[in-house]
Order: sequence, then C-alpha cells, then structure tokens
Amino acid sequence: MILRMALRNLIRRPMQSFLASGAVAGGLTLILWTTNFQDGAWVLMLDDVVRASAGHVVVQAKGYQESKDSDLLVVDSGALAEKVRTANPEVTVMRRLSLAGMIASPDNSVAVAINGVEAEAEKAVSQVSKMMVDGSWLQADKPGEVLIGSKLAKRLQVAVGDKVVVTAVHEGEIQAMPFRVAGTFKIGNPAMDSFFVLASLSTLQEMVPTLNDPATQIAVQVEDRNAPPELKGQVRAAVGEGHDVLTCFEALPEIFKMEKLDKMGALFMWAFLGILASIGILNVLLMSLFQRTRELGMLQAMGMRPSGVIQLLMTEGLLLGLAGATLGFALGLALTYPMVEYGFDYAMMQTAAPVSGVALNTLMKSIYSWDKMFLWTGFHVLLAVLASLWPALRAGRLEAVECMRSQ
Amino acid sequence: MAIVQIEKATRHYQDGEQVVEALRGLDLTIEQGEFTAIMGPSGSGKTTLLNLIGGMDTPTSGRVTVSGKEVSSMSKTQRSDLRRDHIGFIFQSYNLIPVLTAQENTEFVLLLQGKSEEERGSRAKEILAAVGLAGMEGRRPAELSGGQQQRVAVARAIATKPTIVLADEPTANLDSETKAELIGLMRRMNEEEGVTFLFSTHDPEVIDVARRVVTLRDGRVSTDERR
Repeated sequence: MILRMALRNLIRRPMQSFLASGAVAGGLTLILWTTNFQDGAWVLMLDDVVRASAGHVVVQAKGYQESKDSDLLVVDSGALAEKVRTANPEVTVMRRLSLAGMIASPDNSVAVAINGVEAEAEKAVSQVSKMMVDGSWLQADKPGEVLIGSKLAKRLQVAVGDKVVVTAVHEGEIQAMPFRVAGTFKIGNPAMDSFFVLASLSTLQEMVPTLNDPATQIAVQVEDRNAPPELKGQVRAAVGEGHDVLTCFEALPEIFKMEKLDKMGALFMWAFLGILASIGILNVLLMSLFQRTRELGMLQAMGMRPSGVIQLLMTEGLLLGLAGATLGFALGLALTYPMVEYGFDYAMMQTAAPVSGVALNTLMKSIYSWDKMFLWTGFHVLLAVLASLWPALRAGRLEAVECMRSQ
Repeated sequence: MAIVQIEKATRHYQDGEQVVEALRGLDLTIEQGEFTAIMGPSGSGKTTLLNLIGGMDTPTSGRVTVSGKEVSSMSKTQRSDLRRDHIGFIFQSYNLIPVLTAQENTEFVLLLQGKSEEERGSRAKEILAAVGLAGMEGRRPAELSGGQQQRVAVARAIATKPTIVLADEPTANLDSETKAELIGLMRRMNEEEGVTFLFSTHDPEVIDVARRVVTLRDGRVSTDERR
C-alpha cells in the first residue's frame, strides 16, 4: 500500500512530478548520448592512431621510445618482420622509417618529417590515402615517388609529376635524392599539410646507406581493435632481445592519457549534471512535504511510525527517479541510434590538430556503451533516492500534533 | 476496568514570550465501554487532553496511562505503536488519505498492524457495511459527501477494534441529519461492539446521548456527570 500511496501521491501532482522526472530524463539522455558518442569517437580515433602511427605491438630500437632520436633505427627490419609473420601468420606486419630533413623545389625549400612506408600495407591503415586531392597513392613498383600535403605543394610551387629533392640527415651524414610528386593530400590540419611527406620505404632506406634494411619501427597489427594480451610476448619471442617491444599503450602513452583525462573531465561534468537533475526531485519532495504536512501528521496519528513516513517519501523519490531514468534511458538509446548507424562527419569543420601526427577519419560514430549506460541509469535512480533522503528525514521528524495544527 | 488514567497532568506551551497553560493538573479516569463527552469553552484544554491520551503529545508534568502503559515515558515510535494498536481517531475535518479509496483508508491501520491482505479486506468490507457504506468501497474521499467521509473515518477508527476511540468534535462539520446518523452509529458501535468513545464537543445533541459528560474549565475538570 505504501507503493500505491506513493504512486498516487505523484499522480495527483502531475506537473511537479513530470518536471522532476523530466529533469532526470533530460540529464540522463544528454549523458547517455554524449557518453556513447565520446566512447565511439575515442574507439575510432585510437584505432586510427594505433594503426597509422604504431601498431598493437611495435618493435623499435632500444632507447628510441624515450629519446625519439631518428638515428636510433632497427636494422635488418625485413628479416625481423618475417620472423614475426612466421611466428603468428594472422597478424599484419609493416615497417616504417621516419627521418628529419628538407624538401626542395626550384622555388623553395622546407624542413619536413619524412616517412618511409610500405605502400600497400600503409594504404590499408592510413587515413591519408582517403584524403588525396590530386594524383594517386604510392605504388610499390614506382619507388622514387613522394606524397606531400597541399600546403607544402603550394609553398614549393609544385604539382603532381614535378620533381623535388629530399635531403635527409642520419648520424650527421647528409643524403639527397630526387623524387617525383605522385600525389597531394589535404588533411585539413596546417601542420600535417605543410610538413608531412610520405615516400616508399625502400627508397627512403637508400638515404641511410650505413645501415642494412633500416626502420624506425616494425608495427604488428591485428584485425580486432583490441590486441590479445599475449601478442607482445609472441613478438618478443620472435624478434629476440636487443630491441624494445612495446604495446600500443606503452608506445603511445600520451594518447591514452589524453583519453583518460577527457573521459575523467566528462565524468565530473556528467556527475554534476546528474546532481543538478536530482535537485529537481529534492525540490518536488520538499514542496510536497510542505503541502502535505497535515496529511503526514495524520498518517502518524493513525499509528504510522516515523520510519514508515520516511519510507513513503523515499518511495516517492525512487518512483520519480525510476520514471525519469527509464525515460532518459529510452531517449538516450533512441538518440544514439542514428549516431551509431550514420555517424557525424566533421570534415567541414576540421581544424583541430591531428592526434599524435596522424590523420584521423572525420566520420565519427557512436557506440552503445551498455555498461556505462546501465551504470549512469542506476546512478540517476540512486541520486533520486538520495535526494529524497533529506525531505524524508524531515518528514520523519515531524510531530503529529504540530502537523495536525497546520492547514 | 480503567483504560485511561490521567493524574495531575499539566501541559504548558510557549507562545512567544507567554506561557500558555493548556492543562493545569487534570485528573481523569476512563473506564472500558464508556461513551463520554468532553465539553468546555474554547481553550479549556479539550483537544490537548485528547492529544495526550492519543500519545500525539506528552504532558509537561503528571502521568498519562493508556491500557496500563505510561505514555509520557514512551519514545516517538512507541507512541506510534500505541496509537496503531490501541487508539482510533476521528477528526473534525475527517482527515482521510485523499489518494486512497474508502476501502483502502479503512484497511490502512490494519496494514500498519501487519494484518494479511485477506483479513484486511474482509474486515474493511464488514466495517464499511456496518457504517452504511456498502457499495462505496472503491470511492475516494473526493467522491464522497462530508457525512460519508466521516463514516469512513469512523470505520477506519474502529476497524482495528481499538481500546478507545478519540473523536475531536466529530460532528462539527455535518448537517443535522448526517450528524444524527453519525451519533446513532457511534452509539451503536459502543453498545454492540463495546467500543469506548471519548469525544470533545460543543454540540448539545451529542452531549444529550453521552452517558458521561466531563466539563473542562481552565485546564481542569470542573464537572463530571454520569448518566
């Protein structure tokens, strides 16, 4: 009967109850939608970053991770990559060579970061291949080609088919080689469009003549977004000692720290939003307490214990919270659906810095973070119950005789 | 057998700077099966007396004993339990729970006592029929007339077969026909069910049917007439 009374008490003040539940529902809807979007965006972004700038596991020269010294290179990288492939045929293994240098045309010269990649393998994981504005992607059988950003092309005053000279420095030795511009890309970020150069690995390796088959990293990638935990051990066993073998979390700590900070910031904001919504419930129950003082006194006069009065008010808070949370969950789910199916393409407003120097997919999609959705929904119900605690305790402290005097 | 014993009860209230002495050493004993009217002018202490007996309030000094239990030394929860198990209340303004039907209002105290749904249902139906509300069990207070609401209040008060029913001016808001019916109903309950009634009133018609009339003046019993 307590439940029946609580329910009917809420129904007899429909506007107040609707507003209180609505505040919970609105807050929860917003939280669920943004949580799902944030999680989806991070999953895609981390996948892009992990695949394009490292791998689920990466093999590097000892000390490279700490110093980022481009002179620290893995030698005999092809043989090492083959060992990894042989040990685990299901993984994709690719090599990259990053050098600092200059690119020059007859009109200008610019300091750039030069990246040597295995053309076909890289095309599969790099978003740059989808952002070509002119020409075509690197081809394995045309080694002397480079891809440059549209801004860099403008500064050098070159177009597809023009020749440029790339100069790289390794251990103090300067090497220069002519290349032909195979294509230009536009990522939308000034830094990447002005200073990022892609060339085929084999050609770039010729600019490091003192080392045999050098690479900055050997990236090991799996089909799934999350690599199995034993992958690092398998790669370590295949390549042996003498190299650093790192998971993506170890190789790209900044990006994962950024994810954690971003989610932590959102968590505080959302918790605050939830608390604000629960204040609506507190308000409704306090109003109800003032409006029903005589009635609550009468319940006590009939023999209801103070704990019974507390239970009644808290049941009302619980019902308000449940109604709001159910509605919020349904709305949050409904609004998430189009973001999961179709996503949001922010290409038209892309001015943000690339993450870890990687061009990102501009189509962001949400995911259903079921665990968080249920947690936030439960959190809102809990907040509603907590918000009802104070009015309920106040009601429990009322003296029947005083209540009966009130009008 | 005395079911209520009041010895030298005083009750003082602070009203701003002033101390109001609502009861000034009142002595009263109520026996089982009595049908007693308390009368007296406004401010004579009638409602305060009912509140002390009902455990809604505690005396400033003196003793109030109901069914052998001293009310003044009880905790708030113990006083709630006393009301639940031993006392029925009828108020001037009915004070039914607006969101519950006549049946549910009547069942309410039985629910607090932990009675089973079946027992509650049959007892409420029986009592509502006894007070002339058969067929109106599903109506909420807003769908009943003043007299019908007061009948539900009587049904609720006697549903648990309490030791005593305290009624604070139960006929004040009723027309003469309804009033006569209610008085008849309370008398019938007193005679047939043995329910003890103690009610405060100014109403001469109610006083006429009372078998004992206690008059209060300035917080004390001034006359106590048994008929």
